[in-house]
Amino acid sequence: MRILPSKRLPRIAILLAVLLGYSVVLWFFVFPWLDRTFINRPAIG
Amino acid sequence: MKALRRTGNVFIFLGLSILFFVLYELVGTSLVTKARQRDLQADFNAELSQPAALNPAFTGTLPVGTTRRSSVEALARLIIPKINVDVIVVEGVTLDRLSYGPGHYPQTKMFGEKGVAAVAGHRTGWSAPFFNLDQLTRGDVVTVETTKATYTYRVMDTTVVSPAHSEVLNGNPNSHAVQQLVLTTCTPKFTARDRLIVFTDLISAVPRR
Repeated sequence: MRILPSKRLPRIAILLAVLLGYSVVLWFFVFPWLDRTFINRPAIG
Repeated sequence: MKALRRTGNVFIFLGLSILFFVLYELVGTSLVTKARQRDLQADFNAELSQPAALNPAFTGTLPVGTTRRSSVEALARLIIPKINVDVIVVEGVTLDRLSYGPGHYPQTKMFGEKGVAAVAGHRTGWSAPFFNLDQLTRGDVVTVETTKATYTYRVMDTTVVSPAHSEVLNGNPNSHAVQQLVLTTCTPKFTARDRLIVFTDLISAVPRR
């Protein structure tokens, strides 16, 4: 089964869009959660 | 063979994602804090330059008509020469506030008041102002500059405790100093497992002239 279109340009465009979306989710949601959960909680109590 | 290649691609993808996280932690967060510190430094310098700052009744609020660059109030300037720290302290220790710079624990005394003042700061990312806090040893000097006075503290002791040990905010149990400053940060580096505590005693307070 072929998910991506066979033509080169649409294929690259879809891949870039997916990559951009993935990066945005990581940067604004996943990484801040990882940071505050495992890396950075300098306050006491 | 095809399955092996796909597995390899997955691992490459995961590796790149981890590298992306390192970039976020070490560069992305620090860029945010540096920009916020620039605004806070400008606000604090503006406050110090106001004649009102010389009045003992001055509370640190800028006069009407003066534009504040930061949305958060600059409380004091923390200087630790040994580890090249020169940052503006803000009020509060929530993670949002600590993204501006080191934060003063609201439940502790204010600098210059009798009792214990405490400040928390990041050790990883967010400009990591307390990255080298573990290098402080007995006798090192910590300076806090406010709109009212410059307070000089001397490091007396350091310790490592678990995050629940909030009694460290009551000050150094081995010190009889009337005014103390406690600095807290994460330890070991790059984890939030424990807290590194630095106890300091006030050795001088010079009012601003």
